[in-house]
Amino acid sequence: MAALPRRIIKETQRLMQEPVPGISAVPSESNARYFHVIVTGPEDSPFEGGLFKLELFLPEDYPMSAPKVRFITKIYHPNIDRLGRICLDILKDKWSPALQIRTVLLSIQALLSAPNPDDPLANDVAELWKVNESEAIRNAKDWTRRYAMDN
Amino acid sequence: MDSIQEGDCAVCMLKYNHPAKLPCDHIFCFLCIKGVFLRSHKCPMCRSPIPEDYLDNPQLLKEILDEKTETDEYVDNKFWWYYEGQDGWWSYDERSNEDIESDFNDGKSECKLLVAGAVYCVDFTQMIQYRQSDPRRKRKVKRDTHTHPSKGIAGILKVCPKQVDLNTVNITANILDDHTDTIENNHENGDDIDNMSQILRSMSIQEPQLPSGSPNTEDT
Repeated sequence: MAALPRRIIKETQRLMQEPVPGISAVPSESNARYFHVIVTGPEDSPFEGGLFKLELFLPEDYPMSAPKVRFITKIYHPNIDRLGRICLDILKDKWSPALQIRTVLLSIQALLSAPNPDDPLANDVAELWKVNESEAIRNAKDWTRRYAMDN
Repeated sequence: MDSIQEGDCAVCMLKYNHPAKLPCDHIFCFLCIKGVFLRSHKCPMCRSPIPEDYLDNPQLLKEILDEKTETDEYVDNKFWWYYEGQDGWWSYDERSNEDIESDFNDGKSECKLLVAGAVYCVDFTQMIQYRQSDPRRKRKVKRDTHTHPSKGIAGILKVCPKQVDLNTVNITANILDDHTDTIENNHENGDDIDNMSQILRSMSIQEPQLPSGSPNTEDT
């Protein structure tokens, strides 16, 4: 019966009925714990205009453990590595079962607006972000155009 | 519009099931707190620490009364599901019971439950429950009338309403002798139960239905 816990059903319904602006999360037809996610790049960020694909998976013991989230679209960001892994405290030690899919995705969107090069996952990107922010931002815009638009 | 209402537990997002209040005043289902406690010891809402002995002394907002007949939903429900504890049977919580009964009636061979953050499997052919991540942790289960004697619900020892001040909200729960037992803990269970029985006796709360000295066939 607990094939799909009621909480997951409830969260999914709510994501469909009251979607978060700029974020879409649709469960896979074959696996209701696997979501195809699209996050739009926030305004006034180097990612503006981009559509970023992510994958989100709810582990068996969700919500006791955090969803697993990864960028599929390449992105130039100090807290996201080349495999799309995200350095975000609420996905790790700061996870709380009162957080939800929507709050996680909002936090990821906020991370795009506020890169944190002091807590890097992609070291080369973080380094450039610190020593030459304007060039880093140029790279981020370039990658956004190249990988996150028109596809 | 199916938005999440204020009256729902923030962990399971359902109507509170045995609501319990943490010292920070945040309220969750008892089993949800238990699942959280076994991992982080922090309130899911504000991250305030949960006291070490909280599961032994939860602040429940409603008592577990002697029989599961107080609300209408039980009246139609002829059968209830139980799992074996050290010296008696525990009733499954209402939600799990509903899931098990439904799968049983559908003729399925097993029912999977998410209880306190872990997945359990109730196997109807062998009438056992085991933890999916560690099938060695198993217990007998049975389906019986809803008035069958039990120690309490899902690890919360019940109190006899006649002998307890109904304003009291502190109800003794037992964290070791329930779903969340561990192999390492099993040898301690006996002692713990003895202590608990002593406490219960000293509080002159009785469970007259329980045969004394019933065999403890705790599994590993």
